[in-house]
Amino acid sequence: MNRRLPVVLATTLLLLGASDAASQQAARRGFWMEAARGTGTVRNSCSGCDHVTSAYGAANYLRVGVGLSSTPVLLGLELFALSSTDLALVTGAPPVDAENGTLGPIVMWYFGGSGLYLRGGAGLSYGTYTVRTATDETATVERMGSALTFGVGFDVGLWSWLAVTADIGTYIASVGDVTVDDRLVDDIIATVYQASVGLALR
Amino acid sequence: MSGGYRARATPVNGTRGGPGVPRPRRGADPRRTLTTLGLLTVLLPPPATAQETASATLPVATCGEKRPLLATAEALGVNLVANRVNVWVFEWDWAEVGWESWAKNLELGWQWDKTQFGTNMFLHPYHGSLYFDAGRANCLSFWESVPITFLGSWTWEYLGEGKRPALNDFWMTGFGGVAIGEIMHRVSSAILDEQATGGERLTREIAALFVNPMRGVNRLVRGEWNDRRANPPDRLPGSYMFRTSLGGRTIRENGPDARPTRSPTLLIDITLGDVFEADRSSPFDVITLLAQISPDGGGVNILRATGRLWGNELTPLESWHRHALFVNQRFDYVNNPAYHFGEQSIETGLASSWRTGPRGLRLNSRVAADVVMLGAIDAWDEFRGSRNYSDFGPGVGAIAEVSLERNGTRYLSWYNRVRYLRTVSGEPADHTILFSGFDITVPITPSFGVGAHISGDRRKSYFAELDDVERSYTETRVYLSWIPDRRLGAGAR
Repeated sequence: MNRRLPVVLATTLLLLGASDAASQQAARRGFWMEAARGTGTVRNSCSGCDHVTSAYGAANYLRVGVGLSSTPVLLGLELFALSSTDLALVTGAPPVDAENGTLGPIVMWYFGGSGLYLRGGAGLSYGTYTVRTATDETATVERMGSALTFGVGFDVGLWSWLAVTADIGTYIASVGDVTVDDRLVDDIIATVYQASVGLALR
Repeated sequence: MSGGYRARATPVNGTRGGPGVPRPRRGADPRRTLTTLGLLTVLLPPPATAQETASATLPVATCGEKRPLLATAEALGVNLVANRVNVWVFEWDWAEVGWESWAKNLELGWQWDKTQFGTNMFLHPYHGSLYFDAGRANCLSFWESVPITFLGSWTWEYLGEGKRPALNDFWMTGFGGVAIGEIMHRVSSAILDEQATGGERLTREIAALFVNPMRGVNRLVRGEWNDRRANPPDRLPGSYMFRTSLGGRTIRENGPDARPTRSPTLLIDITLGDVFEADRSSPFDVITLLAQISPDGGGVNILRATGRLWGNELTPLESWHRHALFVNQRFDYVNNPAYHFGEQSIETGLASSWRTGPRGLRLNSRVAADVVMLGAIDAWDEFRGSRNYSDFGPGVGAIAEVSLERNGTRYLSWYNRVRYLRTVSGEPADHTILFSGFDITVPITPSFGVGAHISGDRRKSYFAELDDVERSYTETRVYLSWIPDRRLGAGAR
């Protein structure tokens, strides 16, 4: 997954040099939608655990929303997911293929008259954990909970209707108890850090 | 303040003492008044009165330049003071912090804090309101104050406490702080009167300090407690109501061995703005707040607040039936001897009002669906053998309310709320809660009335590995109510 990071950074730097004319319209207006892909890491903490486990993965998100007239604030709905492999839910537990995701409303606040924004949101989280058993079969555990997200990003306008967006942020996803291979992991809270680049229709 | 059950025919956008309707004041300089009045007589028909003109010459109280760095410093200062008080005065172990605890918290990250329901669900949101109002007191907008609230909450959880950061505390401090903070900001705006002088001015400043400490301290430091200026135009909304009630309360858990708990009770009911008339230009332009304080059961027993985030009027002002869509942020806290419950949610629905008679009688209704971002309910802890723990989780809900009103006085009202919570901490469980209540108010004078309330709450908890639990409660109240001040919008008259 780390091989993607240079590509993401290079693309971001390239797009930061886009023409000034195209980026005159810094913030999104009216209806907008955005899709992005990047990389990230998930850190699992749990009640009573002395250590945190982590794994890298591919991050994706989709956002749709509207701009509020007379304010630099956008309201939207976001679907986010990070897929990772070889994640041990607790130290010593067998590795699992994990997908941590969130779904919920977000608020994006453009400030300083530029394309720079802060964002935050809250909603539902989900966690899907697939483990290979001793007989080489797979068992999947699914959980839902509450989620929070915070981040910062930058829109670079290519045309008046299209922008490239660089976004970094964190997703805090509560999952609850998960039993893998007869081992109970109590009150898992997954914290995801991600960096993504996407396209925004605005 | 004056007024009462009788509606005052004030223009919708007029504000008491604001530029639209300058408030007469004693002590104006007569020569200056006459000079100004003479000029205005020539320039501005119709002529203003002498005292009104004197008020109009005062500079309007604007907040001034935005001070984000000072707001951030104040928010972090709140944490520093709270931490030191807990160490030096209360000598709490959890408040002992240092490099070791900070490194451990940053390494291990979030967990749940399932104890201390009142602290987690009420004091943490109040703590968060201090962060938010540090932003508002330094002239930041609603949205600009939100990041400061979450920054304050994050730094408290990671750096202000020695124990691991609690996700539910961070959540309640952040979202609850925004909701309570903006409500306290607007209520304190209504209390403050920049044109008042003497004892009334001091009383108002102290009352505003009590409601919104960050604003009060900032005003005191800047010398604004004595600064006489014209009130800002948005000091009061087009319609508002302050009502307080005092009486007795009985609450009991239903069952053969249950014993009722009786205590005096104080209710504070505040409405700012009208869902049919507010300008929809800013969040929380329509606010409702209900607080119940009873000595038995933790002081503040109920705190229910809503702030409108978005709205859309569907019918014209002159229509006999009005309808408006709304999206609210909602805060609920119930902590009484029988049970406790709290939530942060987003509700969306339809508010309607039908004029049913020639004397201004109106039938109002409100239906809404809720997404509970995070809720908390008392839970049985099998290992500790105690019910003083909380389950946390997301959920959904619905609300239906009907009331009969005349000139803003609510004679009869009925509500029904249902909630479903799915636990993500503690014992895996699904909880359903049903809240139903009925109120009746009989006016005695324009300002006073007598009222009664009866409500029943029922919960069912379905545990994955324990026996299911079903419990129900009944609460009754009898009280005297007083409306010290209110203004009705055009649509309610």
